[in-house]
Amino acid sequence: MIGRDDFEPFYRDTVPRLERFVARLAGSRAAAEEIVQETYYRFLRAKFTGGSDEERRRYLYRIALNLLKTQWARERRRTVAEPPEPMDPSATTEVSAVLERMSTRDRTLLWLAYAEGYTHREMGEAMGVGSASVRVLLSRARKRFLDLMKGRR
Amino acid sequence: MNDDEAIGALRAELDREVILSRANPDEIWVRARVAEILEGDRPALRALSLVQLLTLDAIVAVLAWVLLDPVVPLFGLGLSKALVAALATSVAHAAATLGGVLSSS
Repeated sequence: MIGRDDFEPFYRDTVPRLERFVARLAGSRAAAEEIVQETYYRFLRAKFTGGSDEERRRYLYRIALNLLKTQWARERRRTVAEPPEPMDPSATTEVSAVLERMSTRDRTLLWLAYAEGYTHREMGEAMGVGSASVRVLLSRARKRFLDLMKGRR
Repeated sequence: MNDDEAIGALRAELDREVILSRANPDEIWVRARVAEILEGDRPALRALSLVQLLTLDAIVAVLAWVLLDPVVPLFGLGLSKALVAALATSVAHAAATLGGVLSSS
């Protein structure tokens, strides 16, 4: 397992962006906080010691995405409608309102492409789909985003 | 707003900070380390019979629950993380010893 002295700087470097990623996809603040913490716990338990910082970061996102998928499935199974606690209602922007209307898959694609700058191959690895599919899916997600933005004007 | 400006707005939105309660990295590390210690001796216990293994597993599970759940309250009481880690090591060793006793009985 990665040593405590190595883990702390890695955590400090990666947690702000991971929080932004998870917060936009988890559906609620409580779920986002739990997923972020669980992501690092599983990262440590997975004994991922090799690789560059970038590879470790990508592995972290893969874990987070798997946890998010479980969370989405849990949300779908929930029969009693409980509105999730909003992340920060005062910070709602035009773009965030548009993103809220998009599917979790589209939001994931847009995040990995435009916030993380992942290549199609890296996105495919993180999401468990082929590069060619990523190209098509991302293109559709981008178009949906632009259409929704135009629809608000 | 043209497409480039919309994508620019998207990038800015994705870069906007969110405020979440952040866990202490030390606590996450200790939790993972305790779990690793508790599981570390299990492969050596594979020679046990199913009943013996289940008995031991139940004991270890209870000890793990006792140890892992109150990690934060333990810290709140002033117990150091090193002490918690030492406790976990003791539990793992006790489990291994018990396993040895059970297997020879």
